[in-house]
Amino acid sequence: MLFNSYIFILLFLPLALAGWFLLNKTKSEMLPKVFLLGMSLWFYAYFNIKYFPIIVISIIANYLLYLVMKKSDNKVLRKAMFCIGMILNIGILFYYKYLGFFTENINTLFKSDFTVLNLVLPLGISFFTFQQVSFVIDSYKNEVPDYSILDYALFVSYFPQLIAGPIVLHNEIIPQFADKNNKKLNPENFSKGLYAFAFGIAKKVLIADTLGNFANLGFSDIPSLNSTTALLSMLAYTIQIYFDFSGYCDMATGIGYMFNIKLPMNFNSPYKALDMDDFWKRWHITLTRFLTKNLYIPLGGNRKGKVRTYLNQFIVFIVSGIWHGANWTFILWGAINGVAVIFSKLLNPRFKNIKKKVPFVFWLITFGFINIAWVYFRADSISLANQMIAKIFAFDFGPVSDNFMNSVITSEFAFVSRVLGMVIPNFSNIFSVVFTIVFFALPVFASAKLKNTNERIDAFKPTVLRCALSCLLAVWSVVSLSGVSTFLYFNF
Amino acid sequence: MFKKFCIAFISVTLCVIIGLASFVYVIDPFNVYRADKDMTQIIYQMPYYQNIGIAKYTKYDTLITGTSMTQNFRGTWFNEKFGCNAIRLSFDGGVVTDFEALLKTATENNKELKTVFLGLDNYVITADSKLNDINERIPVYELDDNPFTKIKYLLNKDIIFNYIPTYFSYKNYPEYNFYEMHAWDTNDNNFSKERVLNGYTVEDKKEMLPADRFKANCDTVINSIGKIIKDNSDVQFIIFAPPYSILYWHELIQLGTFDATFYALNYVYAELLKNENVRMFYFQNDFEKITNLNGYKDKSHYCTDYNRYMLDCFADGKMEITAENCKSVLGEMKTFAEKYDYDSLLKG
Repeated sequence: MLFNSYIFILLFLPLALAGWFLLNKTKSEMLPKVFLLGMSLWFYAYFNIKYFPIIVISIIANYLLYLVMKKSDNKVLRKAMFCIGMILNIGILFYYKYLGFFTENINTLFKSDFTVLNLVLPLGISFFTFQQVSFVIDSYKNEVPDYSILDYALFVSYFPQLIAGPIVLHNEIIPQFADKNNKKLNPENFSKGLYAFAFGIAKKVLIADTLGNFANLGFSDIPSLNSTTALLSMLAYTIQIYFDFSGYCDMATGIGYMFNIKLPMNFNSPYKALDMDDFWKRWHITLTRFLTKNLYIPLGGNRKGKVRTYLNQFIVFIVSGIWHGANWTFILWGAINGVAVIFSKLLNPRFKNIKKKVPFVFWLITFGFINIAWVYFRADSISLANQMIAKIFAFDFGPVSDNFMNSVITSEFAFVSRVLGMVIPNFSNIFSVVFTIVFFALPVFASAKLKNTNERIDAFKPTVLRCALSCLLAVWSVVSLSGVSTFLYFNF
Repeated sequence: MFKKFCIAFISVTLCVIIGLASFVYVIDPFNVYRADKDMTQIIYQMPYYQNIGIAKYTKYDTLITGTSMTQNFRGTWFNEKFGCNAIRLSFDGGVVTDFEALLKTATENNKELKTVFLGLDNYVITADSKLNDINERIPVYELDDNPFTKIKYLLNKDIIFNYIPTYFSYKNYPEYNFYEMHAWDTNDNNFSKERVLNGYTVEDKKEMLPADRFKANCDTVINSIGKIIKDNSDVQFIIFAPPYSILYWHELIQLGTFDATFYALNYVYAELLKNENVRMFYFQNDFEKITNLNGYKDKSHYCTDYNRYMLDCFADGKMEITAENCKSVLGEMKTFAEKYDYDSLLKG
């Protein structure tokens, strides 16, 4: 089930909330949790019932490993359980996500002829695998308190964060379910939740999906692009990926608030960053947190000298790249980000003062770099990404063709421009300017200058204006749901 | 205040959503809930969105369907000729799944249905069956009664901002009426040899494909349309093969699909003719007509006179084929198309 679907908004979410709060009125501790677990599993199975057993078996297996580690003092046995946990979790992820890519490369390298399996990726596998890996590591370190299987299963499958993060930790979620204060509907949290959900769905449906049409068109036929269209396609994807992923996280945060369960922040206005080090402190924060804790620090972190520190950081980015997808484009994307962060760390002390004087210049350089890096992330191959970059720097700035314009001019914009055309003389002459401002400049401005949803929640006051804006965004998004695409981050 | 915010948000949002859905329900531009002939005049260009609703809710005893080859038939002609109450619902570029959906809707919802005229194009029989399976041009909300599917129609901004305004702006156009709906000869009626030859590209000659190349799709036709025919023995199905120009056959020879097409026609026709409620008309071997390119706008689309001619044939039984002569008629057609002097024709 998607957050941006009629069944979720009109049936699933109201039912889940009503059931959760009503059952919490009973004295039973277990009943509401069983209900929410059941709803979460329905949410997951709705996508594809075939993958339902994978998540169930994975939850049970990891919990059993935890139990053995919890109950045993035998170091060898605990280590064995830890290793089994790692092999099991990473193995499943490897099988579904990387086996095809791995076989393809083996075939190319050794001119062999192994069958390449093209498996459909179980939804959210990258997210719940990392969550469980983190749990197994903590279990091995004896950092996990007593949890029942119900607590654990609910932590992994809790539907707001199940399929696209944020990657939550057991100790920030399970205690919230146990907290008695969270079991009653809280109007303050609920209103914040509605507000965040309205902003999130609007970001996803109205901005990301619309710009996504433009990006898809551009990236599907790179050789035919002129520099203007190539540049706008690149920018469209930069906007799409941020509004898509952060919109999803805003919705997850909003739903969390409705249940009185606070999820960690995943995006802190990444496009406000003035250097790449700063960007990675703001983008997909829970992934960076996971990789820092479970990879960077075990590799030695910054404790083994400067060179090792940078090397460790580079390794983290390569792993992050691979985590995002089984393709050399993702690995290269990880590598260039890694190099950029290292450079940024090296140069930051020198530019500290000048950055304060001309922040716009640093913003522009950083934003430009992010855009180019996303081209490697989005393109189907490295050579196609290179072609896209070459198209931009060919300086062949022609007009944007009608099919590109039409790809983003949704019916409401067509309707408004039809009406404006009747009111404003020569509206068609200024249409391209209005078009560029509405579809490209405004989202960039919003992401680089305005408050993000988490900041909005913190400063939230229930005013009439906010309520009207939230209603407008919610209704506008709901009537835009038909035919919209799936979340980009489902496949990672 | 927080409580008020929640109540206001939920009630206003729900009211607006229900209001918009009710508005679409009342206007119902794609006939999902009802169909009346005044309304369907309006949005006349979208057979894939309209036909299912019209088939479901309109009263008729005769249905004419097929691809663009049938779009210039008028229901009124059939009414005059056969004293029936006919409607024509064609899908331009339609494939098996489209006709299956339409025939299923018509037979299940219209107990008065007596006759179906089905223009069965060769390409409907020979097109890749996999392609047909994924063809979903008829929106799901037309076919699926699940309320969450219907919401895709009721809360759809394309309908709210595009089709409903179009509905109002076209409402008083007098020149379109129900029987002209989806006909293309109203704005495209230049039929000439010159136009046909200018628009025809001679494909590079390819190797002839195996004769049973299209068998899988033939089976799809037999298992879908054929099954509906079998299950509705009280409905008369008049199936006909439209008269493409001779250039159509030339293209098949060049593409290497000539033998496979004849195999497919033989196979499907023989299967369909096993049903007692089927009559078949084969117009493709009307050699005089198919070699006169002045009756066409391209290699396959013919002028409205040919539709009139086919109607006369339905009435007097001319060009009808039976299970007994089907094979020989197709054999004759194959020989004619194989031996035809295309070079002279193409020289103009």
